[in-house]
Amino acid sequence: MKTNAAELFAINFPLTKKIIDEEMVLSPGAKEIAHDFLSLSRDFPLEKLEKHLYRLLDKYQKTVPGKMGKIDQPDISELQKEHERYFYITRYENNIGDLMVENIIQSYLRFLSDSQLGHHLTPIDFGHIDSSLKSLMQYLLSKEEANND
Amino acid sequence: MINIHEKSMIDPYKRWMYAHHLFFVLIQGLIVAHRDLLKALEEHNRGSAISAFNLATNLFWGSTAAFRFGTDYSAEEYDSIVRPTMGPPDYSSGFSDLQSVDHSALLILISKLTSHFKNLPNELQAAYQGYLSALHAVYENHAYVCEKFVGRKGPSLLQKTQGSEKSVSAAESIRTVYKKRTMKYAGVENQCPFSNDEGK
Repeated sequence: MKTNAAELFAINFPLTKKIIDEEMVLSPGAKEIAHDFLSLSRDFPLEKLEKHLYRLLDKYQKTVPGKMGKIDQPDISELQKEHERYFYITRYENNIGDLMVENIIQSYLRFLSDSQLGHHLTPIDFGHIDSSLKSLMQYLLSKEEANND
Repeated sequence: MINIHEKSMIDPYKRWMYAHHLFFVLIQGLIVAHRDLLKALEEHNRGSAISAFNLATNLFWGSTAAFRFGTDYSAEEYDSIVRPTMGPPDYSSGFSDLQSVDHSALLILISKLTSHFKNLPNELQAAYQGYLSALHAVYENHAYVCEKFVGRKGPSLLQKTQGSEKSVSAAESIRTVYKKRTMKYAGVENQCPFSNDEGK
């Protein structure tokens, strides 16, 4: 079954209310993973960068508390069969800070993996994507540290 | 980087989908940035305002690259593989990214900042100008990909549903309606600060 565009938006469970209402708290596990993410260099060969990201996602799913969210349509098990285990599924029962850490890593991994199949992006384009995700992760960490001061 | 002259292994549908995964994260990050920017400006916290401006700017530039990443295949492949998933029978007609709840929330936040943008202190002007430049680039890149896939005169799926396909193209709508609206929310009235046209 091919996922259609509507399912794509359903899968990205809208986080608007949580983002606007909740503080960006990071659990200790997510904070450590965020630091690990920021230590990854864009100068690594893409395959090496990809491996590091898979390891981070593994670590996240083993160490960061939270349950997979429920999505009414489509059936989540069908999607998991179609896509490999790191398919982008938001675990909305997590706190919003931890969710965003996972989302950043997931989307970077998707981007890297698929870009290796072919692209016309310039090094500046790669830089923009890398920099935007890193700056978001850094911002989440800085807010967490400011809240703890 | 893959040699662009070799046969590409890109699956257009997956490429479109993974680019949207990037957009989802970037838009959610932009909501965080604008929420914090509003709070910082209300509290006259200039350090936090600069951080939020810089985050938003970075995320806008990420979005410009994500547009090009997500459309890295031919117009024929878009028409035959990607576009059919956006309509009947799988989905109602008029599919548009405007239907994203997060995207709507972002625009509302930007509109709440308008009066602040028009009265920024000097210390924030440099960060604000960088923000505007990146915001402008987002819309221009969106218009560019529309032109690539539906041509300079082609309508969007939403326009087709609304029956407005003959009046203005998708790319022109982005430049003259949506970009103009958002730049107005961002405190830029009438004239595009980056060209000599009169707000076109």
